[in-house]
Amino acid sequence: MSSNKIVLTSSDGESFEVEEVVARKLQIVGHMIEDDCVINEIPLQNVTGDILSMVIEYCKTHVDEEESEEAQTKLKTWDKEFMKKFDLKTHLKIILAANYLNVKGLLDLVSQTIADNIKDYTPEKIREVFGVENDYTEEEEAEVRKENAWAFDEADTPKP
Amino acid sequence: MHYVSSRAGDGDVFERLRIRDIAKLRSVCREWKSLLESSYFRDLYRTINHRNLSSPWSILYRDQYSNTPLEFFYEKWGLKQSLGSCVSRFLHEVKAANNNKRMGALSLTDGLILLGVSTNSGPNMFCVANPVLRQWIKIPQPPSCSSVDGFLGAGLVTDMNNGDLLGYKVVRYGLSGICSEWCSLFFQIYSSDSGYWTYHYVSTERSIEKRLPSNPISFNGYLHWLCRATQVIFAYDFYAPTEFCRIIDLPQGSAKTPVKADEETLTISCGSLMYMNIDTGRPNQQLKIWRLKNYMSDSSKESWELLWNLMPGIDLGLATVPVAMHPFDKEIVYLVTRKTRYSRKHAYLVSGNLGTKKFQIHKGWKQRHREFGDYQSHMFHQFVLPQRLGSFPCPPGCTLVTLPDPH
Repeated sequence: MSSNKIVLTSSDGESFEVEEVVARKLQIVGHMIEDDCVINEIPLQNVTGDILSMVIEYCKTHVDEEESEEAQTKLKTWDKEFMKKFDLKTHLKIILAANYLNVKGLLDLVSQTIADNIKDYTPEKIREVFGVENDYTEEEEAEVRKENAWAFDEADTPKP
Repeated sequence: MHYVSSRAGDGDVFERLRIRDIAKLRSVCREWKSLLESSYFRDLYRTINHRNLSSPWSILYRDQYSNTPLEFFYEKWGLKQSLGSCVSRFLHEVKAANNNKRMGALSLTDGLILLGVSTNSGPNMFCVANPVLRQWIKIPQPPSCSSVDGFLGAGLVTDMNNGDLLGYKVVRYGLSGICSEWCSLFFQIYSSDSGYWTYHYVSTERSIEKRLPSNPISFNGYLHWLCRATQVIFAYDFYAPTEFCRIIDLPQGSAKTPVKADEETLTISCGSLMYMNIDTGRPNQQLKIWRLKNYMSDSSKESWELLWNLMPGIDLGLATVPVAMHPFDKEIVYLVTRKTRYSRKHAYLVSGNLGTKKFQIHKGWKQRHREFGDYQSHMFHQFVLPQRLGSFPCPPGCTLVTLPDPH
């Protein structure tokens, strides 16, 4: 088995030398290799070095996905621990990177992680963590909340 | 903002949330609201969640002696409380709001309940209610009509589009005919679109037994009556009215010994009408389940697809009754079985996985001991919420009443 090395360079100039099988986990890279045959260095414009290193760590771990149940369970545990290392801000950056680099498994993993983390957040908290501006008028917001009142807990209701 | 505009469409976070969380997120900002309410998002949500379809559901047992439905199985999908407790509490409050008049749930479908309210004079009054949104609408009293030999019951059909409730119809039904030949169905229909009652006679082309079952199954705008004596289903589409009622022969035909009541039932699973039966009373009894493929054919072979034919792996009592299926999993069934223990008869509710052939007695049922006849399959109701809980159409001239939030 050949162990071609490929250098991936981030937008801020950090370079990572990885084996071709690992690089191919980034589908964007996989397509480039197929299209152009020989590539040794690939610049990746939309991802910074810190995030790229996380993506590579994920790809290295997932490089040979074994079928056995035991291996799958082990991988699942690793995924969980891996995600725990980062906060929501980083998760969001990883999501953008995973989408740009087209790493399906990582995209699913980080999406599910964020969903699990924010599911009990109030709309106020969501606005805060996602940096979303509330563009409702007071009346409009009250109306929308009333329409969806069934979804709110007592604890979600803002104190008057 | 940037996050949502660029990210939400790619199969990411929102699609993995529970419908309750999504309802909450609508109040974050305008853009999120319009995104989360778009058909684009809904389709994505359905694609991602196809394996665990997203509506909360319950299996309720409507007790004929009280107004409180008993709940046996449910999936909350993130709702605060199970649908059963939601329905019970809501019915109690609606009753109080109606001067404690006698009322009962007549039909449950797509998140709506049809309530019959007793009146001192004239026919029943009807209310249509959404127990989750805590809203209800009083339907105008139906005009009395003397030409009919009385109504046998009432049902509710809905007009759904992609998970949205567009409208509903309250249907009172009865039989009409000459002497003992019952050959047409009579409907009095109230449409939420028009806001008034209309009459329809529909020929059945075959004679109907006098006792139509009191629990027509509502599905896709149709009501379905399972007629045991003649082994047919009468089906009528209230959103595409025709001159004739559809007649679907039951799969096995009527050649065998007459089937006893309560051995068969209609239920809905995975978007299809299902017919379940058990050849009760014989050793090695078999549970069979068919899916209705189409309504068109007169030949039962072309209408039905046999999904299951198996001997339940445990020693179910000899009098076992199929009651319902899991609305989103066609491997899960619910049965009632009777066993004698210490010379006392008990009815048990059993849930079964047909794939693994594992059957499990539902705890807590034994205490509710009554005569077996009380536990007829037609008293079990699937109550499934639609995929979206948005609006509740209010017919012209009616008033939508919203009960205050209990908190």
